[in-house]
Amino acid sequence: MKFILSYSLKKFWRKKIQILTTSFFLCLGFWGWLLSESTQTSIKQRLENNARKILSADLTIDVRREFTNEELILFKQEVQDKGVISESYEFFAMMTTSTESRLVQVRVIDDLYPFYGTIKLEQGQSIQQLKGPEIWAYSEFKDLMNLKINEKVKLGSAELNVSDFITEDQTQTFRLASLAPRIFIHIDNLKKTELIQFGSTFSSIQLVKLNPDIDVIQLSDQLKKVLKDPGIDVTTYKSLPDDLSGPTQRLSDFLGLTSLVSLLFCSLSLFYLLQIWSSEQQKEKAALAVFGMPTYHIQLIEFIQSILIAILSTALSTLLVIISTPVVESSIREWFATDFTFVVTFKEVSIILVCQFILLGVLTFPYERSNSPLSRLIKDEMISNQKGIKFFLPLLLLIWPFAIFASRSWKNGSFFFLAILSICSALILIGWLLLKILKAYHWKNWMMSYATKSLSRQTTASWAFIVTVGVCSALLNLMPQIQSSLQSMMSLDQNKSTPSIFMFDIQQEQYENVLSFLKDRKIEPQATSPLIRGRILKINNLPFEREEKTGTFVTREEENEAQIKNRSINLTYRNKFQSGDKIVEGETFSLTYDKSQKYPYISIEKSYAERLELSIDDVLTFDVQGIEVQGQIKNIREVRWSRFEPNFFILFQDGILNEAPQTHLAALPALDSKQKSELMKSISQKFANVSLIDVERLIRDIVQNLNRVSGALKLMTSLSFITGLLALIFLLSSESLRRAQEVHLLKILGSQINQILKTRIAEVFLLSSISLIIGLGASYIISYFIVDQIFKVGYSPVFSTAVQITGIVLFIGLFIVKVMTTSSYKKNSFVFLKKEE
Amino acid sequence: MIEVINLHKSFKTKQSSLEILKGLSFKVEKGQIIAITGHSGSGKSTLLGLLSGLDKPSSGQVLYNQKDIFSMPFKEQNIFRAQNVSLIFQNYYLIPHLTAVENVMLPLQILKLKNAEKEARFLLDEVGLSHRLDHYPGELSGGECQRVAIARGLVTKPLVLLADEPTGSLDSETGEKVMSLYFQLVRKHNLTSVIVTHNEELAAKCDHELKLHQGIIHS
Repeated sequence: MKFILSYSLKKFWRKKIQILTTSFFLCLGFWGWLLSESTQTSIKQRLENNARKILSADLTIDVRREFTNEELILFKQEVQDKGVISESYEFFAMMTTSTESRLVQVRVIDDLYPFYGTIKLEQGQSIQQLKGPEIWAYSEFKDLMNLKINEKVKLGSAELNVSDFITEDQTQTFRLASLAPRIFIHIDNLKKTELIQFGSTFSSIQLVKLNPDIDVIQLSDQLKKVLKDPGIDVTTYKSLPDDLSGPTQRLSDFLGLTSLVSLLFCSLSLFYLLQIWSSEQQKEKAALAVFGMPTYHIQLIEFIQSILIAILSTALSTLLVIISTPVVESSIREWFATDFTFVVTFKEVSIILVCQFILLGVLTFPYERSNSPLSRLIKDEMISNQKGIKFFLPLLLLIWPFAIFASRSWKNGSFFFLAILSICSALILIGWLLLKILKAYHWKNWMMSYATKSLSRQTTASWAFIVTVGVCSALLNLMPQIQSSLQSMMSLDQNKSTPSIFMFDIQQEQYENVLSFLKDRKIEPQATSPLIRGRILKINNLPFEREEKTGTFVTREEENEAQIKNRSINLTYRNKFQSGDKIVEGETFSLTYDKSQKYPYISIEKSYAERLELSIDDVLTFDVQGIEVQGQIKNIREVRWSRFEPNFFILFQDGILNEAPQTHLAALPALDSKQKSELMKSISQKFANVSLIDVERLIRDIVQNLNRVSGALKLMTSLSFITGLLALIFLLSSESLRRAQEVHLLKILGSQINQILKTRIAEVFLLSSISLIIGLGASYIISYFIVDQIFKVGYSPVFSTAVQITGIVLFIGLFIVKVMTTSSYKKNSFVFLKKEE
Repeated sequence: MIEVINLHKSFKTKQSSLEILKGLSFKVEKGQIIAITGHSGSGKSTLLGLLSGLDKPSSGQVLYNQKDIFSMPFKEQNIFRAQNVSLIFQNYYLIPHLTAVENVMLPLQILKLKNAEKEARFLLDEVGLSHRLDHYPGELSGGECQRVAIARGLVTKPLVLLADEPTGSLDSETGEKVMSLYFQLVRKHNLTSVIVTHNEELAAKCDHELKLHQGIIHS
């Protein structure tokens, strides 16, 4: 044992270059992974650590209406002995000063708020001192509205005094785009504002600070059981807040996918590097075997080597992550506009260590079984002489668990694995056909004849080339396609028809007045829509109940579905479809209800229909303010939400919901900033309960934030692109090194360098072309499915990347072949061949 | 035929310069078969590399029919070697993805000479492998591989055949058979040959033996 250990250590030390290069590639691949894992964990940990502060409680229940007395009784029965309860509201409203008006997020609080987290005030007061007719506003208002201490502001019907500015609010979670900054008012002043009326959009919240011995999850489950309405959200500090949604969530998924692709590329690079070194390794192992060393001792040396390399590369990966921490932290702070501390946990490092060890084993395993020790000493075999594609199989199979682990989803991981498997199968099949054709065709030109014979008779090497270049080009093109679709999803169709202001919460009795008010100012609303709040009770007469997903392994799709099922929904009716509507399934129908119809017809937005698995002719039963209303789905439409036209998931025929209690929403056309500012002020003075959203400001904020996320997408795509190119470079270099002996032989037999180059270029061009065609074609198909099925966004392919990748792959391929062949040719062939003996 | 004049070859090491060949001079007449023998590290293979023109001397000349191969431009030297000098190696160095006949045809195809297949078949027949024409090197025995290599060496009808330890990878019986064939063909085609070998028996069969010791020839 002492000898084995000393031999392993000696070997490790003396093979410095090989060990360091192996460690470098493992390190590069796992650095991307560790970075992605740590970023995701850091975001999660930060949110978990701050969850209490964000919730300001251990547990909250909230609903987008007033709680009923019955619900409050049930809630208090469950909670009263277990902790303290605080009451709160949250909604958007217009706040007006003598010169300005602005949409604000209003948090209505009582004396107990907040149970956790601090709210720092400029004058050093405590939030519990908020009493009387006063507000505390975010300090941004000083710039936004020129607001000053003791200034009077109007909020709804109430006139309130600005008593302090908030400099830090730990109860506000980070958001990609918050509609408006916050103000706090005391619950005693809520009535005076008259902002909470029928149809108003607001959240009622009950906050609970639990006694230390209470199990918050158990209580949460119990509350979910007793509070039957799926519209009531029960949140605990242990459940991740809902903010990791939309672009952030997709970015997180993309991050996992990119790191996996980068790892795959690095593994391929390593695979080819190990091949370059395999001959020497094989001979050494064979020599040990011939000298009588038992097989298990040789394997033990290999095992120790792999562990040492894995430890070294894990240390390097961790070091690299630590070194890159300041850059990552500042980038994430910028992307998410939040304080962020990067965390590398021991668990992650341990997982990476184990994964590296497994990967090394998988990469070297096939050689262990190739030949008997003696034949290894005599023959100098490389992959070209091996039969079959067994060399790729272990690596291919390893992708599956790695993909599931990286994506934290059986579905997404398996989809990724199947995609890679499909590409490989297509490449092998078409490669096999190509090689058959090449074998059958007889070239008169000896160089073409030599090149095709070389390809068709060294099938494993040709397949290895086709599969690697094909998979690399597919993955290289996959990331930009996903990136493009995600960016396209996030880009906004800003044009002249983009509205400048949204007015919502217009009460039914105010509607005509609002229209004539606008008409007096020569403003014609672009669109108005009635808004009726409802909730799905049944689908095809089957109850539609609260859905709670538990456990740690929940797919994104299940999370989304659960969220959507638990929410109430805004319904509308209209007599014509909008320009942004595109019917993708079912028939177009008259939007005027005909009493002879069995059910009123409804049109459903595509993503909503997919999430709830709704299809044409399904009958939905809604609860609209206590009355059951039924509708049959007649078509499914795609809505371009980025146009910022008011639109809804569910659209009824005109004539069904007209009598239901409703509010209205109006979109106003583009206005110059002065006109807009004056209009907003006068609307909020005349119609205090009507909320206004400055769409331009909102779009500006969203674009700014999405640009930051785009930066992250670009960085991650670049990382996988660079590692992909490295894999290609190593494949081509390994292939050129393998063929060096041939170059020298051809030289000795009288070939000029141009002739040798022509044969090698013909080989690389032929194989690369077929691989690129299949790989790039497959990348479009797979990216379509990933974008459509996993990310659930519209597909926006870019074809310029395919042209660029083709150019880059061919350039790199031909460049490496030219450089390495020329370099081999210039060397002393006699000395080279003597060394090979 | 071949004239070696004051041939020096040295290699630079980290500390100093190592002189392998120390001013060799000898002649090989047309049709002669010369053996170069010596201990390992004596410079035999280095000398063969220089005779083939694949390596460059530190100083000195190698003349083929009064023509100094080292004074030729690279491209011309390459064509001259392909047409006039053939090499046979201990490890045969056949192209693994070409059949026996394709391996023998290859030098003729590279030189754009006609009747490549006919010539190749003829020579393989001469080395007794007419039944192995379409076999790949991996499917042939060591002796058969060396016979294909000999046929490949002869197919361009060179002036000189250089062989580096041609029996080094073969058992003594096969080696003897292969070399017997080799001598027979060299004599038949009236070729000049230089054989580098450890094998004293083989050297004894040659017309002349040059013993190389510490970079100096002892004939």
